Amino acid sequence: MGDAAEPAERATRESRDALSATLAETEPVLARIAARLCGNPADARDLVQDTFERAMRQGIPTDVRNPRTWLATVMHNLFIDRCRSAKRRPHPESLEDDPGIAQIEPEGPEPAWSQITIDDIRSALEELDATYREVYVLHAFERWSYERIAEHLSIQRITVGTRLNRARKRLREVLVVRFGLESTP
Amino acid sequence: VICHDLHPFFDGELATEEQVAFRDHLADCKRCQQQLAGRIHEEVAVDAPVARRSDRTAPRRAHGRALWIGAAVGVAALLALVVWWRRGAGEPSSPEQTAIVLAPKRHVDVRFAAAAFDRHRERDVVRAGPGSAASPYEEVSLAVLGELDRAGDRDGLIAASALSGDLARARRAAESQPDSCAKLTALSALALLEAQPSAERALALAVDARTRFPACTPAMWNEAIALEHLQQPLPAAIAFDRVAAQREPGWSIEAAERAGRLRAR
Repeated sequence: MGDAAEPAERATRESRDALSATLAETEPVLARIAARLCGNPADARDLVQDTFERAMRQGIPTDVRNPRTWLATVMHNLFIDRCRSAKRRPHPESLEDDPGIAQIEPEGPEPAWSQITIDDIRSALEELDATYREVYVLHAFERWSYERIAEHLSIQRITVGTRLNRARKRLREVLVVRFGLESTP
Repeated sequence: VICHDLHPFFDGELATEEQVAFRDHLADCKRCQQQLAGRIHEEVAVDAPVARRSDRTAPRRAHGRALWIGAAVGVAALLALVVWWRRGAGEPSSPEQTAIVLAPKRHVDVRFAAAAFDRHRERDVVRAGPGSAASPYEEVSLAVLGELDRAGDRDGLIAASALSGDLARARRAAESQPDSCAKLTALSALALLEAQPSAERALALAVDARTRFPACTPAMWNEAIALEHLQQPLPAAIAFDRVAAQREPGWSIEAAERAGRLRAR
């Protein structure tokens, strides 16, 4: 009996270790995104914590190819759920008491972004006009604010936003052709 | 509020009241929800591990080199200090003259990055409260403080001042330094030790330290402690996992144990 239990225990431990490694590796980017979505550190931490609790409680489905994208989708769904709850109950006693209405666990096929690597993005950026590529790289890779980019390039802040939108639009067009990325968002 | 506020919202470029209004809009706008998911997935893809390796190879190497040089200089300074003490006093006659001797157990749970003060010791955290005679601080002689000061070991001086309870001196010394792993780690530790502790501030400083100085393990530790204070068991467990993965003697084992206990809650 011990012999039979041992491989099962090892498999559980390995699966738990793999999940922990994924969570640890994904936590910085999710925390950064959550901070911007929520606008305050406490809510952002709760959002990441809830996301990880979902993953710990139910595990990430074995057919998911990109666990990072799966976690990001869960966090997105939780966030939308919170927006809806807040809108329905502008001053709730406790949001924890609210059952929520969104489907949290991702359904349907994985988003096309889950198959796109950083090298794909880098290669697609080569197709962009240098004016747009520069702004995109400073913002997405170096994480500069609109203000800092505007100062650095001696352009208006609003122009930074416009160039970023055009850069993203063009990037998506390239990725749609190359990888079948959804064209809408 | 209109849909094209999505990008400035996601980029953190909207004013607070505009953010609130956009979240309200987001509750019902399917198109914005879909676009938001796209932006989130895009950022996660851009932040993929390969991106961090290839994009920041040069700065990371520079950091690595700076850390090695810093560590080598630190070790050399410490050795020089010990040699100087030994030479000055002949054979060691008292602990204070020979080396930095700390209590066998640590009394505070936060870490400082100065190597001489960051050896792992068993935890015996003292919580001093009103009416309590217990002190969380340990004896560090004035002679040791003076020597660290004279030797220019700023990180050691900051750690020694803090561990001996002179938090104001530790803060002054830390704030006068350029940003480094040691400085930000010390400030995060002080944010938890000071009379009006702020786990939020400690967390922000620790995250800043380990983001800017990737090998800054003491800051990773302080991040986990701050998250524990903030009652965030899972993120704290993950932060402890990060420390455990660094394979530092003593710290790694304690971090793994604490991560396990936090998950079991």
